[in-house]
Amino acid sequence: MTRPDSKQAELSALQSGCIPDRYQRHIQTLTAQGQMTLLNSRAVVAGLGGLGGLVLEQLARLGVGTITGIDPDTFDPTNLNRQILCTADTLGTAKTDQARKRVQAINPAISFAGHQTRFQAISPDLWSNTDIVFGCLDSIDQRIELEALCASAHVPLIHGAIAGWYCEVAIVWPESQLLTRHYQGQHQGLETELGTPAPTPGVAASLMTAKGVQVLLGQANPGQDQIHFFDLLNNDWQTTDL
Amino acid sequence: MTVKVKLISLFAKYLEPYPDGRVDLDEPATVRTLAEYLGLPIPRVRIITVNGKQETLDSPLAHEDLVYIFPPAIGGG
Repeated sequence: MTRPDSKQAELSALQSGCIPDRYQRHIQTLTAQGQMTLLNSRAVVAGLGGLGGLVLEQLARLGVGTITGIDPDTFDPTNLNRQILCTADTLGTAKTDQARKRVQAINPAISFAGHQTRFQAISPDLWSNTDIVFGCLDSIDQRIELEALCASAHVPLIHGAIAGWYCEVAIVWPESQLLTRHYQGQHQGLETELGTPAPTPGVAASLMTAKGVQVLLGQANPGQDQIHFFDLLNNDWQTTDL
Repeated sequence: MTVKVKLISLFAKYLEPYPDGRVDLDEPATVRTLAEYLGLPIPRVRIITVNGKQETLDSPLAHEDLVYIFPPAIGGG
């Protein structure tokens, strides 16, 4: 059960120098001011599958105060190998419903809204009333559409994509058109040929969340267009200016 | 000239004949020359970097360049 006043209570405690226990292990890295910034931040997670479920988990544990999750789908048995919100007990249920339960179980101070629909059907107000968007989608066309929505709303987008042991992560600053330039008109990826083993979304989602925190805390470099590539099989990590 | 090549993910098999990743090419050569020499599926080549900077198939190569070629990944998991 969400307690509407607990976020304010946590903010007041942090303001007075009293660190809530759940954030004790954050403070040396994120600072109390940073923790307050996260509590006051609003994030959208578009897609609640392998990447999105793990991003959501970390955002909740970080104490990002307002989270919106979007996904039209329900869980099926092929999700069990990698999607943290998918268990034998949640098969057939809406991903947004499990996301809500998970966030509330981790941190009742967080306000969570779930939309069991395609992200294109969401009111434009959502994009202009958020601080960051995580793109955890399954097709290039959807990713380009989301990039355009975020650009229109002047909201940074955190990109992540996976295939086999390979993943890529980037901060997409508004109007950079980084994904449009990155995909260069291609429409087909590798994941149908390579599958998605469990470790790959874990690595990619953690990197996405780290990048998102850096953006929210003003620690990222606006305008720096880079993509980070990771080949987990060959221990090869590359960062490329785009 | 010799270039050092890294092929990522599904492309890695095209480099199996070159276990040290070093490929000899006649000069002049471009990334396309290299990709065709290795037998890569050109339409699926997406991101290319040479010495850490993004380049294109038509970018020229020089001796001892380090070339990465990436296929697309789009899955959200």
